[in-house]
Amino acid sequence: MPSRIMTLKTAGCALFLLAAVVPQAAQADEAIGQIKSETGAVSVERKSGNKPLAIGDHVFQSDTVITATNSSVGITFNDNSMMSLGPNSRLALDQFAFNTTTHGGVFNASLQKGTLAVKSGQIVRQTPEAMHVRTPAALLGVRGTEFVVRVDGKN
Amino acid sequence: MRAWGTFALPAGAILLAACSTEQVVVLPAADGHIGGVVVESGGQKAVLDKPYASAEAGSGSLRQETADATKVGKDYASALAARPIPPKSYMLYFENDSDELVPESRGVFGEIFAEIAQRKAAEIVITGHTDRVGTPEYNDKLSLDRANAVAQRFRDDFEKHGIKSDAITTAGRGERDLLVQTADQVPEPRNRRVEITVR
Repeated sequence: MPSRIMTLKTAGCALFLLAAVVPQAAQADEAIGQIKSETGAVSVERKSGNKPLAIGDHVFQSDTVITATNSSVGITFNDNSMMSLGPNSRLALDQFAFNTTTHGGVFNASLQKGTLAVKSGQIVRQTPEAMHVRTPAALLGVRGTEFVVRVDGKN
Repeated sequence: MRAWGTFALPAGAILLAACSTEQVVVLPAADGHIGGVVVESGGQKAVLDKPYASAEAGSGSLRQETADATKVGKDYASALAARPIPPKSYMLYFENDSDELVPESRGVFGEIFAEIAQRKAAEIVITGHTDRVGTPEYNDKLSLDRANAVAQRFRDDFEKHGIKSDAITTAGRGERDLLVQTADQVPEPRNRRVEITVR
């Protein structure tokens, strides 16, 4: 019996340590950024359904932001990084975690098509290459700070 | 005609594959610091660490070149025009052992409210910092307490300028982000500060 209690205690301790070390991923209901600029028709694909996005709306981990023809959108994230999309673009916000005390975190996004302008923020300043942008053919490790990406020819 | 038709399909397919390229271009940084971008594609790797350093990926190849600034401006015009206004930060300093702002910091609020008026969907982030007196753990708490105190005290002023309380967040950085580097346990007023970021 005592050994069993010990095992439980050890397991509890291990879990606690894990929670302390791994940067916490954003909860599904926790906003990771906000729409700051927009032209034309911009929408989001998320599990709860698709909807149009307006200036001031929040975005969440696992969202895919989509711009139509003659449309664009600019987003500022919680670590002060910024992303903006040109027309006919699709950007998946795969993973975002940011600790406002330590500035540790991770930011992974995928440009599936279109044009994207990026300015990295506090996550990259704290940990270079903690931010990645994936495209169909490449993986971009971000050391900072500003760059543009295009997928599938010119729009 | 039939012979032409059988030729057209493969030729079209090759053209399509050639068009399906991707490009990444590093831009000059506003602060002059460029870390760059590491591009990995098809087992190849390229480090782009200069303004307009560029790589094209696709069809299994990774080609490095220097992009033309004018062409980049044109090709990415819409995405570049949509860039949000960069976050702007203001420092507030406090009288010793007090939550009273030093006289020079009182005027900063006028600038902060003017900046809020320039923006759509403005948010406020209030971040506390300490000097190195006390333990790091104590300073984490102290810096967050200072940030929360500032948020509480100026809540009504922010609200008057259109910032609702859910658009205000606070953070404490403790002694991680010193303005002036010091040895441990050294009191340094310039490190005891609260940063207000408008974004």
